[in-house]
Amino acid sequence: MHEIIREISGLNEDELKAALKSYSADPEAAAKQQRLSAAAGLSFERFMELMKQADKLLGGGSMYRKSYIKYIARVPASFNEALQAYNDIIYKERLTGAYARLFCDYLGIVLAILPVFLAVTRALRDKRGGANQVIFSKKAGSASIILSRYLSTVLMIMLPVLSLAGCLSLQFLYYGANEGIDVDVFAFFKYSLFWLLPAVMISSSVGIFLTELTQTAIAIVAMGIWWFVSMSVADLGGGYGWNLIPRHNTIGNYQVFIDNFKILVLNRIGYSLLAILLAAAAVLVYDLKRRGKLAIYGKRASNIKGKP
Amino acid sequence: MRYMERELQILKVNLKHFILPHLLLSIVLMGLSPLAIGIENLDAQRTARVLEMFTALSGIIILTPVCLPEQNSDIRELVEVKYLSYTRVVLARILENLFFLMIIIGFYIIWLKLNNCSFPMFNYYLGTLAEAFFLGGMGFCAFVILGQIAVGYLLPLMYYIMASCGGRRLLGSLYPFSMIYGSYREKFYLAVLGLVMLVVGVGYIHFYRILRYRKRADKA
Repeated sequence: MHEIIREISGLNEDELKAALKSYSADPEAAAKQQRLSAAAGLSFERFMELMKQADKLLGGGSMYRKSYIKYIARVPASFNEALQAYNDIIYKERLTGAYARLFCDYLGIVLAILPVFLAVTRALRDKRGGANQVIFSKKAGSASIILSRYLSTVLMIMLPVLSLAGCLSLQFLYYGANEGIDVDVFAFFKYSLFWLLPAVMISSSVGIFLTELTQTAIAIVAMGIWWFVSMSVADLGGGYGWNLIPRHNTIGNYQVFIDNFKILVLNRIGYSLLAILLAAAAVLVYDLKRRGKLAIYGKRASNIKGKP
Repeated sequence: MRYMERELQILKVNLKHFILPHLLLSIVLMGLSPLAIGIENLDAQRTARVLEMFTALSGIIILTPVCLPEQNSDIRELVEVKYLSYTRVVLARILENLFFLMIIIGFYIIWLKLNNCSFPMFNYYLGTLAEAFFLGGMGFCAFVILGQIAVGYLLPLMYYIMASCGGRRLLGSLYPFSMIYGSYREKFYLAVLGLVMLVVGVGYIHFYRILRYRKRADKA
């Protein structure tokens, strides 16, 4: 690591130690005082190569990884750039668009994991109450039982989200009317349905599918691991990729959003389709259990009651 | 001596039939951790981040499902009619799970040390254990009182998410990631509160059972 820092800063060991010692609460002043700047002749490509080496030294996944490194550096915006960002927020996003993305960024973290608890609780209640056999013998089809549970889970999660979106829209509407800004009243709703609904759907369907399949709370563990990995590798500034939790942890940054919009759409549609497939698989599993063709608590249903 | 034999049998059955998958899951997650987070050549602050934000989660996996077998109504009814107090069974299981939790976290810390991470081993071990104990105790207590394993996992995870989303000011002395900022004071509070929640959970099991018996006896 020392070699890497020496090549980047161009300072020898003693100078680096002195710089570290004087590093104060104001890093910029300390940097100026100790002439801490990039070494002469250091190209950006070489710098990125060195950062890759540093990340490897730390075992990967560090703050020096390619997707994260841009958050360590700061470049002051020029007046024109700041004006452009302001105009984007006010005129292109009509104020609410920028805030709706931040709203989805934070709520997306919770909504990628929360629905799985509801789905697992719902399915395990049947097991705990010994209600499975009673429900199995009812006239209602497997699809109507599972899909009604699934849709009610998704709906009950989305209702408070949309209510919150409504409250925020009203606040922005009031603010916009006072400041003379033409706000997009539906931005919070549009973003919530487009950005958050797929996460709610996938989390619920993983919960319902795995719980119906195993009759255990394994779905919470599976979703927990998926959530943790997604959070660990997430790019906070709009590099959405195929992450379950697309992050946009800033107000504005409209150009990045537009540049990555296509992959974001594919991401959300992809997860929605996967959620629908898992829900359909849950219906199939439930139906097989009802027919006695799949294990329940480690035994075939047909063995428990005796084959007809 | 006979009591000890019974309790040793409980520990054996608990390990073989109930806790083993949870232990294996914790071990696998720890083993796969380098795929998601860097665990080599870390300084004290970065090591604390790994231990507090990742390793301590094993507390939820290992301590929360202590009473999971009794979710099955057949097992629940069988256990309740046994002469040996169910409270004793739960206590024995808690101690066993805690023992394995201590071992798993201990091995992970040794692994970090072998990966050339520099940090105060003993302090970080106790700090991580305190947080795992707190999160697991919260899960256990919620599960026992509310009777739903999903709720048992939900509460500590929500606490974890709240803390990781900038809840330091809100959680104050109960902030679980304090070692990142070089403070151990919070760990003491977490350990005490973890113990309180375990005691509340066990107490609930004990007294709830007595109340149920009395109600049944009154009816009879």
